[in-house]
Amino acid sequence: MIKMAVNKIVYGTKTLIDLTADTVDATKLLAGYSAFNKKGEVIQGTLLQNYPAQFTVNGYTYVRK
Amino acid sequence: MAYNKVIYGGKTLMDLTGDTVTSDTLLSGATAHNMAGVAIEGSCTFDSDTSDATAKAAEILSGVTAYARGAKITGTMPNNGSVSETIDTKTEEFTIPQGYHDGSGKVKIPTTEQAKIIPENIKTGISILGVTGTVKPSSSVTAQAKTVTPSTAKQTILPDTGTDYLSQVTVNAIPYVETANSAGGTTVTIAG
Repeated sequence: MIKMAVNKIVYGTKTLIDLTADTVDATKLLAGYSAFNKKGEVIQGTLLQNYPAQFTVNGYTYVRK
Repeated sequence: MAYNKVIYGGKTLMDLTGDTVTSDTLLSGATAHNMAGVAIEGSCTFDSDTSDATAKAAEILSGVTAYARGAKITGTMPNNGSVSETIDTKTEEFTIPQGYHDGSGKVKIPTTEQAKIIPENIKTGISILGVTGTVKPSSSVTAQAKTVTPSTAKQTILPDTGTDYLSQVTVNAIPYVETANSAGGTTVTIAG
C-alpha cells in the first residue's frame, strides 16, 4: 500500500512522470498558486503573500488566484 | 505530449491537472511540472518581499532607485557632496543645506582670523574660543592717578571711562578746620 506521495512513475522501462528533480517549494511559488514538489506533495505558494491580490512590477501585472 | 495524470487500475497515482504553477509565478531558477505535465523553469525575478519596507523617495538619493511596498521608487534627496563654509563674523550663522553630505565638509573660522586669536592678543584672565589670554597691562594700557578726600560717606574710587586702571590713588588728610564762632568758642569741622 502506498503511504508516501507518488513522485515518479515508471512503466516498464519508460518513465511517465518524474518530479524528483523539481526544486519548487512554497517560498519560491507566488501565493495563490499550487504545484507538486519533488516529494509528490501538493504545495501552496507563499511568495509575496503580504502583497495586494494584484500588483504590477516592471510593467507586468501579477494577479493572485 | 507529457503525462500529467496516471491511473493504475482504479487508483490515481498522480494528477497534475489541477496545478496552477506557471513559469512567471515560479521564482527564477526553480523548476516544477505544470498542469500539462511539462517541466518548467521559473522566470519570476522577485527576490524579496518589500511589503514592509519604510523607505520614501525623500530618503533616497536623487536618481537612485529602490523597491518598497511593491513599487519602484526613485529618490529625491539632494546629493550635496562636500559642503564647506567659513564663519567670518561674530554673529554669522551658516545654515546646513538639506540632503546628503559625504562627511568631508567643514565649517570653520577663516585662517586669517584664527591667527589673531592667540594668547598674546588677549588680556590675562580672558578666554576666547578656548584660547586664554596672557597680556598684562603695558604701555598701550592707559592708567590714571586720582586724589580723593575722605568724607563721612563711603567712597569707591574707579578709573574714568576710557582708562584701564588706576596707577595711584592719593588720599588727602582728613579735612580738619577750626574756626572761631560768635559764641566765643571754636568750631571744629571734620571731613566737612
